[in-house]
Amino acid sequence: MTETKDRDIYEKISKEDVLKKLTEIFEERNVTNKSGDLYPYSYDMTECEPHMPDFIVIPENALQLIELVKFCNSNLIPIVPFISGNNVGGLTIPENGGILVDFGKKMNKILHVDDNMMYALLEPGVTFGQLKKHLDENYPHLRYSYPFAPPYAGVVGNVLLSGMNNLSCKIGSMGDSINGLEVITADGEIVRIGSCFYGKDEAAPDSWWCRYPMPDLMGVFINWQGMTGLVTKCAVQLWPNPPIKKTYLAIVFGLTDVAPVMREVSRTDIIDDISAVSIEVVKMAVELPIPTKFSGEPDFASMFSISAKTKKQFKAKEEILFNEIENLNKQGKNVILVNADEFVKLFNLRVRCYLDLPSVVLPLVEYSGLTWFGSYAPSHKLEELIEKVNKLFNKHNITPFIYMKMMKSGHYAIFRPIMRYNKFKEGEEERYHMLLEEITDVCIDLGCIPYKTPAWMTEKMRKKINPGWINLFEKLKKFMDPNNIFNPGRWNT
Amino acid sequence: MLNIEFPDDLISLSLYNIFSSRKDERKFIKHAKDWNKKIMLHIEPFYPVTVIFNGSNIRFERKEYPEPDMKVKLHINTMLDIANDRLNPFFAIEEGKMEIEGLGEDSEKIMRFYNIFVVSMQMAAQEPNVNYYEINKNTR
Repeated sequence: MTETKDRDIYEKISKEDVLKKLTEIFEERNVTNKSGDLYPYSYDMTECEPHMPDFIVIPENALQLIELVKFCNSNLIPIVPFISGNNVGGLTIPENGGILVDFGKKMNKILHVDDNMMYALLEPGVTFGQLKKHLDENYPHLRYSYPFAPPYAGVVGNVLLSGMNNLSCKIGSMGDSINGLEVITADGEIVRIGSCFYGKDEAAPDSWWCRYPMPDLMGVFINWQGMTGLVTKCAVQLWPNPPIKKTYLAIVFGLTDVAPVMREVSRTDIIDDISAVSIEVVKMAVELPIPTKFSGEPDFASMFSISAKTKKQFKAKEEILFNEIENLNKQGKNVILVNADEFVKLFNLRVRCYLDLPSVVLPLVEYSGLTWFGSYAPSHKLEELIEKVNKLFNKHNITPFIYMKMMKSGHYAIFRPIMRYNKFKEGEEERYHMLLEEITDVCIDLGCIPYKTPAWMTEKMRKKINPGWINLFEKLKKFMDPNNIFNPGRWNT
Repeated sequence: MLNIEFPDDLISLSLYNIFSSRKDERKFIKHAKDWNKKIMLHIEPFYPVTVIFNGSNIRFERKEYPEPDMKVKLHINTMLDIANDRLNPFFAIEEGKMEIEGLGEDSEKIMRFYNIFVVSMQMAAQEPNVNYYEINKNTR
């Protein structure tokens, strides 16, 4: 357990008075400052330094939050938004203490699903599992897209941080799939962004259908890690749910050959999602905690998801995929394509955790510690990234765990080396962090841009980013949050 | 009761999964127990694995034994076709999609191989081993 950092955030008001005010706003049952309650919010799975919040509040509506923001802004008290604590970047660790707002408990309603314009209006605490269940039961013809995340992880946090999904090859980053936001800014004003911006009062539920063509103010909130305001509503795009779906597994021999395979297949423009993992990761799913890759085994397993409305359309897509694989093999690649459903039945059903999303992806939760360098990457540099990062894993005698995706028909890629470790074993965090730092340096040098970024990583990025960007970023932060109350410390603010 | 050694390579892991779903099944035990044979299985484009049946134990070696009792070679897609009943295993042999050496005229060997390997694969494809959810507590 850590102590609150030495700083004077209660200079203007005593902690006792803060508690009194919070109790007034949220009622006693939704406020706590007991260390036993605060502790679980002080850390996450990563090696990021833990820190205790001073208070937890559980909001029920935006009006309470307006009051909270006004109060915190005039008393200079930090506010940290929290949904389920599943990010892998220490993003909700209250570095400077203050008040942690837990949206996951009561602001977790699916407010509206618009069947016509295919979107869902959500409160911040809605989880992937909740949304999937709601759609499966009430709108089976619609689907959302899910990342390699457990069903209890938050949808809104993922879109606001431009997370991944399993339609990435078709739709790209989740940040692009936001139709509208309702945000409370530092002065306590409610702002509605997107097509829901008409009107003084509450927006009609069917008005959250588009993000453009007005000046795109959403950029002031997406990827800002809660540093510019408190999001209280978010409309996310849904997609038609075609009846035919199939995932192919490409088994790729040759360490870097997975890169052209993913690139070329993504350009066929027929695939919903392309992801690839080191072969060691496949073994991790079947109770091999420290797997080794043996001679003769492939290097990567890549998954291609296809969907179609009719059998004829599906066959046509399959034909395009088969032809592309055949071409790649003619060019000297060694790729075997198998039906993923059939393969996992013979190999081990536990591998289905990669297919049936959202799911508890076993290799990601098997250890007490998890950390990564998750980045958007230039796809033409994947070969170099794989080679260099693999060498670093081997140098540190740590099992390689590389996860990649192709985004939006191949416009860019995701490159994410991942490390699982025993958080409570002496020296392990330091050992893994050393590797992560080296990986970060190599990847940033090759142009990768990390997302859901911990502050130590943004510090490295700041040294490379052009000064104009930094200046504008600082100006915007100052304008949006003059008293630095929103999740302070993120991006080294 | 059979003991099946937990392996660490992809092909043996798959065989482990296929066999272990039947390890308490009377018919499987009858065929696998005391077979005392070394069967080399090469699933292309992977590597050869030797499955060693010894008394009540089944274990896997990631190499080709110099003189196995049987050698079987087939492509991964042929294996999936047989497992999913798209291809009759005897036609697979006839069409050269599955090469078998050392079968000879030994009908018991044919029957045991068919029951242990082919039937188990088909059963795994149709009734997959759902006993997979336990998380390894040693990694906690």
